[in-house]
Amino acid sequence: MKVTTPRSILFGTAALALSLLAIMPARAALQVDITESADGAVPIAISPFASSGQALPLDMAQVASDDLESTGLFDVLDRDSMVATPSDPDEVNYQNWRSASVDNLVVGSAEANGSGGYRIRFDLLDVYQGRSSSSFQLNAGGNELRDAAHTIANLVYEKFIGEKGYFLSRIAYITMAQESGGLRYRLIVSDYDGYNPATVYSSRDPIMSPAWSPDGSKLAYVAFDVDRGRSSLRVQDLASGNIREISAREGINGAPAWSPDGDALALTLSYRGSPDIYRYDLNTNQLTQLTNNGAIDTEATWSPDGQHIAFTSDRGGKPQVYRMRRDGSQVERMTYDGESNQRADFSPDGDKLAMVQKSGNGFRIAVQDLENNNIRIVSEGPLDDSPNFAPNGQAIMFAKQGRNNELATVTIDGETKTRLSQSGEVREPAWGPLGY
Amino acid sequence: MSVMTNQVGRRCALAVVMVLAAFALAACGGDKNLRDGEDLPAAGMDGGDDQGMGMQSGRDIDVRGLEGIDPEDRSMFTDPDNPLSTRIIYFDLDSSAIPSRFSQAISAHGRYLSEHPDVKLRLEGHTDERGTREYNVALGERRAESVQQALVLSGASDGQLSTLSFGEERPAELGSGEEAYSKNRRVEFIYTK
Repeated sequence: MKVTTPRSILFGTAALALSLLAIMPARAALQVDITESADGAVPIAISPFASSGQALPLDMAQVASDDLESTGLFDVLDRDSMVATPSDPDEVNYQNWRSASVDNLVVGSAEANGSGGYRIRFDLLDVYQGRSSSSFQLNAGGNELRDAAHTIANLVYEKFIGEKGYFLSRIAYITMAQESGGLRYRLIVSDYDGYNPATVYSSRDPIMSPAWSPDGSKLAYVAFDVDRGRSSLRVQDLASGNIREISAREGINGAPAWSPDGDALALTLSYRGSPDIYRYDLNTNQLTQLTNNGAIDTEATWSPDGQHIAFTSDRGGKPQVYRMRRDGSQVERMTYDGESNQRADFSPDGDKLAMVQKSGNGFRIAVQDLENNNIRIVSEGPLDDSPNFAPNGQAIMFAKQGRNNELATVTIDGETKTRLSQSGEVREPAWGPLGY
Repeated sequence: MSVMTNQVGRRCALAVVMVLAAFALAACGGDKNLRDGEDLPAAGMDGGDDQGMGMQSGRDIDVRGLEGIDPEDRSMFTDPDNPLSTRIIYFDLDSSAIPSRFSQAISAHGRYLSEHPDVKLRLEGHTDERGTREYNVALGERRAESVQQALVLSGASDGQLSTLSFGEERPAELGSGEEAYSKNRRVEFIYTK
């Protein structure tokens, strides 16, 4: 990223097709609240984006600032503490920013492009060098300013961190609310920060265990149908809403997990007796039993290379995480720390395992380094569940249960925590792919 | 989206081009459902309209679960002096063993089922909220199967019985704490047609 090719200019001029949807302010059902932040982060300020016409319907600088701040890897200057709010590199008095110890500054503007959208340009300024280190320009539709702001944050994040940012990714989660006539369960998809929530499926019977297809186009989940006396495991296409029923056998139809190539699901069925892990080939509809014993085997998750499946089993007494090859052979126990360990999730690079660990402090999220088996506890408990790695592996989202049911995000070092909350119960976050 | 950079390395340029692709997909992908922030109860998207939400729905648990019983027999299941009126078995923490105080109820239901071979009974297993959700579905199933075996020993036949585990998903009592937990670790008897 240190390349300084002088004046390498222009990459394509494809115009972004404009959506005809009316501009509407993005709603957030989940409220973001950064609760702890780490030291040693990259100091940066994002000055408010200018617009010569009407005021922008979205504070892009604030959205991008919130993105970066939530990672714990950036120390983002509050708007109130800014010495000035320039929008063009020529307006910047670098000496003032140096005095304020702001090493990096983003300035930019978004101008109406005459066809309902915006032409956005911004510069990333190196305050000590006193010059722009990168400048970018992009066009966005009238209702795409939020995504444009996330894109700005992704570009800044990648420039400093060297990994792709996850600010355009989406999450799925389950809510339960008490409504007239009884409980109402919803499967919801939103931006990673809780904005733009949309209900994908809704029922008076429980909905569980959402899992993203690797390409982000589908969700597998479990829906109960009490009248039918069954649960069903299904795959729903998000663009069309079409639902494909995978299994509605007697007993458990649960815990879907996509293979990394998207061609198969691991799932839990109990129609032959005790709960066991099966592999369901989505192309041939072939079902293969992978575990077979009297214990509980459930909560499968695939290693990123597709060669292994980790799962929870109480075959040794208390639930622990085990691993087998994708054909069910070579089963080995992976976890020994704490009283019990359940519901594992592999990091995207396969080097770590996140799980729910039970100890004297309740149920907390643990991260196990698979190289040396060191364990780090990254949440406080007492009822934490459903850990999910961010698509770039740098954070974990999980659910907090108990008095306040909410979603939380923690960096993998456990240092920075962000809460996503709303009224009613929110649970079972599933973090989708990067989104770009 | 057009993208211009200066003094930027190749990698950044590639990242921006990929962003362009993502934007184009978002604009053409027809994923309106996921962007407009509205609940869309489109056809096929809404689940069952079941009213049987246990105690939360306000529906009387005494009525729910007796649909499969001949109306003339229902009074036996609602008479508190009749062991058939016990239609919820409660369990100890981390246990699927049926506490001995329920053995009279198990015998009565087993006998009723053996005398009414056309009657079907669904055993709905539940846990408290501690532990992971899918594992709790498996624990609830283990409780339901424990009751199933006891009923078979008391005269019911396997073909009359089925199990459905909700894990911690349908608590009888919302809230955290042992008082709620002890009411949620249960198997409910649902007589179906």
